Amino acid sequence: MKRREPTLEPELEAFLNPRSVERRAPPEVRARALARVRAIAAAGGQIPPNASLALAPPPLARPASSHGLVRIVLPASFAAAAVVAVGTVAVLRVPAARAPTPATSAQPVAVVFQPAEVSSLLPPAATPPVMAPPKAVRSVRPIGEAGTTELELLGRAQAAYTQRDFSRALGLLGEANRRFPNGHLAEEREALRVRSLMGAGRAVEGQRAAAAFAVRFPRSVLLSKERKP
Amino acid sequence: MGSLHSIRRPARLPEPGGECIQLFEQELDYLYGTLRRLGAPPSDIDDLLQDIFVVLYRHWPTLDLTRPLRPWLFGVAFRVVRAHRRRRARESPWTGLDPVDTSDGPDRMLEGQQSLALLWAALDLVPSSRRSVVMKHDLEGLEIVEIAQQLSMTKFGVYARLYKGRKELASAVRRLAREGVST
Repeated sequence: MKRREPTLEPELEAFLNPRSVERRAPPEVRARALARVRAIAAAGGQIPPNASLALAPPPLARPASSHGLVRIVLPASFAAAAVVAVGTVAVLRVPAARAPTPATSAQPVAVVFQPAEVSSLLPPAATPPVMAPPKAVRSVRPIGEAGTTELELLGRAQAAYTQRDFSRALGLLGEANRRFPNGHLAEEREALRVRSLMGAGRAVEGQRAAAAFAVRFPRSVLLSKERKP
Repeated sequence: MGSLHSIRRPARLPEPGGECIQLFEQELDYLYGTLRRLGAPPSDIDDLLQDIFVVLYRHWPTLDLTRPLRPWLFGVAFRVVRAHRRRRARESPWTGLDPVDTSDGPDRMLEGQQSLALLWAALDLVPSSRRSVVMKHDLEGLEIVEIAQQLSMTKFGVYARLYKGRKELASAVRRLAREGVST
């Protein structure tokens, strides 16, 4: 006779059946959490009644129509892109004598990245995110000036997006696409394009772009199947 | 009238709960990973982190910071996730006029109280060579490489012990739960 397995609490079950999860808090989560805890500490440990609303950073532009296929976390994508690019440049600028230092034993050198576009996404009370260098660099090819320009273009597009200037964002993204069709930040660029199309009310094109994104980047962390409640 | 420049600027007051916030910030990545590991949905992470901070802030005066904090934070995170899940279940909108009460009954509540104790008891049953790896990785949030350095092992050795230790832990938890061992 088969023995009946005991029912465990979902949390315990999840702990015993580990799945791969991200172990680093995304910058926007970090910023929101720190803004909240500062307010709580200032209130002597009491949660302000409107903590979750008042302390959250200004909402990003939401797409005109909700699309269940992708939920793309834009600040995370931009910050991740920035970290990858800056980290790549930082790695490539390490003198040759220091290059063989094993990454495993090296003390991580913090890379501070705070362009105006990213800072504008954070609540005023939040400290600028200090990001550890990326664990893995996607490509060993040097980025150089072209990479920097691609990052700048994407940064300007992101800024336009946050100001709900979707047509300008799309224009900048188109330029980035023309100049760097296979750039290091293609994934982030396409993610931003999907959001911009949706934000501009071009739902059909947005859905098409989202489907193309899912095909081109099937394992992308920017592609989430989870719906927001 | 004296010049305004002669007025000394008052010293900046320390941020309330500064040390507590600093520690929370240091452990934010660990807490985030732990919450995700315990199955917390991404949309709830902000609220859960806030709840953990409230617990940390209220216990701050009595916390013994000479001891490792992460196992304690793990316990807090576990309880916070569980409480949040139950609250969400109660608050879910129901279409029926007379919804069925699906909240945990007394037995289930007791089971919930015991889950953590069950986990700690099961950890004791895992051989120490593997228990230390499981605890360092799954409870303290250390990376494989760090554990390998600390224990003077290869990465593959750590992976092997972690894999086997987790299996032993899971079977120990189930065995204790099945036997209804009082923890």
